[in-house]
Amino acid sequence: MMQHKVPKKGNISLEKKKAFAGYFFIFPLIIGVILIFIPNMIQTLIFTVNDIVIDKGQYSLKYIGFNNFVTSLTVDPQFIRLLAESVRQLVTDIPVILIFSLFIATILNQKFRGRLLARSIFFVPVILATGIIAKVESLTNIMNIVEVGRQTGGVVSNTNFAGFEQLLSSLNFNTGLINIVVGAADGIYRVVQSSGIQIFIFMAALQEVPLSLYEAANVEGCSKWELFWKITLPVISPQILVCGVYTIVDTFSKPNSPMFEYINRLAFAQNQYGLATAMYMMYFLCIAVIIAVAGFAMSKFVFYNE
Amino acid sequence: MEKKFVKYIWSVTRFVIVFGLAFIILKPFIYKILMAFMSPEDLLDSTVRLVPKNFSLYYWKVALEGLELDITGWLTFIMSFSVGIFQTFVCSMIAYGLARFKFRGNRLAFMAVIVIMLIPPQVYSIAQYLRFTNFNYGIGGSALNLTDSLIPLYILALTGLGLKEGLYIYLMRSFYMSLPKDLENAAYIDGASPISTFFRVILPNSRTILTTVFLFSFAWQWTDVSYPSLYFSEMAVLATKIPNIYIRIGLSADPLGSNIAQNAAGMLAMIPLLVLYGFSQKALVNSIVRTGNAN
Repeated sequence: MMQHKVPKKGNISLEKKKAFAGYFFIFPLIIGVILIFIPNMIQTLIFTVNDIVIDKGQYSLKYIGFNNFVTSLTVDPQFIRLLAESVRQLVTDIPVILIFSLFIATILNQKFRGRLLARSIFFVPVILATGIIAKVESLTNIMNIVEVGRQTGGVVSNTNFAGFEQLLSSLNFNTGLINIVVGAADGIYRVVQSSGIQIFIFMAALQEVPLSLYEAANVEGCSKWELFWKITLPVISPQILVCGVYTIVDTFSKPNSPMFEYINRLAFAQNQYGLATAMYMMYFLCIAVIIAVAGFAMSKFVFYNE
Repeated sequence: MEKKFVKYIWSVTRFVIVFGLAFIILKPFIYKILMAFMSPEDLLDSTVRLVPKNFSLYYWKVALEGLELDITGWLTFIMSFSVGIFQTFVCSMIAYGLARFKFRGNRLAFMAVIVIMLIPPQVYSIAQYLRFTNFNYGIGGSALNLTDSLIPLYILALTGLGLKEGLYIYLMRSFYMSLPKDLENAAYIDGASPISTFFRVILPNSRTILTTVFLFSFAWQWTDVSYPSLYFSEMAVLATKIPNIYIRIGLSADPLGSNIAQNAAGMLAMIPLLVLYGFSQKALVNSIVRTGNAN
């Protein structure tokens, strides 16, 4: 690739050497995929059509056909509702998270006082707002118990903005309006918390845009608005695709999502492993369909500078 | 004149947006810390809203005792540190191989990375759990139960299947694609093999991305609950200790106090991450600049 005219024989041997090195470097991945990942997926598929009984780490299977799928879809009281709910939330969240993180990345890439501080704060959620911290009931919930529970005797609101909600209702606002406003405020909090990595990727992408393009466009007399739509957006479009897909997966695989909590309870508290696996599979198929549709739609706009 | 005015308005707006959002990010942490300084009486006093009246270390003490730092703290540190090192190293190898070498199956391997990144681990968690409780690849004869040890975690980290490793490989691959080829070419002309070039030239030149990935990997392993709650029954890490901190008043549990103590424990457990973040912050921001230069 980078070789100039080297005698043919030497060229081949170097190419071979490099191909060998390539295999050497990705060797751990090959082992992992062949010995662990693919067997896991096959095993999971087998589990979905079986009833699994686990006793002291040993397990036995009983073939029951598609019963697990039928049970999840027709008998189970929660599954369909939770699935629909998480899909609905995802569909509204993706565009908001993408636009928000692109906007923030643009701002954080500009030069202003306190930029370093701002950048460090925006990455705090990436480091801290994962795993256990997200799982321990957020403080805002405590605040709710304190604020609302004291007065109403136990009616606890689900949002992070209970105090705000109370303020609005004491001003005699319409309940529907309050729900919308509080929902939006709560949404901002959630969006900020889940945009960390996306901001990271977008900031990197924005620095990739060649300055010469902007200079040329400036000479032609483009406005800033035109610069954004005609240059920035096309150049960073591959990263928009990546961020979009990552957002979908990240939102879907949050361990504290109601869906996962429900399935995990089924699996590890009620030992319904087969049923739980079937639900995981269907849940994943939903993600796959959404990723395929969203990926296809976005890839229409992706521009590769090659 | 008008342009200057618009610029001024924008810089004020930008300041409000950026630091308003920064406040939203930090608010829960500030609240949690303030609440944890309350004394139990403050909770019953309805005039106390956010700032405690009687400062007390009661909840911090409960949290500290509940965490059992001398045992759990070390285990958590050893786990996160070793997994962080393994993941960073293995991911940099795989990413470098994918980014720089043309060989049959390169695209397929990259597709595999994407698929690994996309499938939530919960989907195959049961199969994987059973694989490690009956660990047997037909070599040692009888099956081994590897739960309650770090071995499954190490196996996953070393084969690129650990927590979020697909993402790390992806990030590092774009970093290596952006790295100028001159360095390697110089090494090749000197007769170095690709493998020794990787260790002698590439790794020292990718300190920023290595630090970033190590930071992510360490922090996410540190706070992760999905692995320990499944694989550890006798061992415990900080993340699994926190939800089990309860305060009892007489015979009944005190949900509000327990919650405050749990949050205080969470804050305590985060201190090492904040320290680490403080140290690696510069590398993190710098790696943004580098990851983006893929042309």
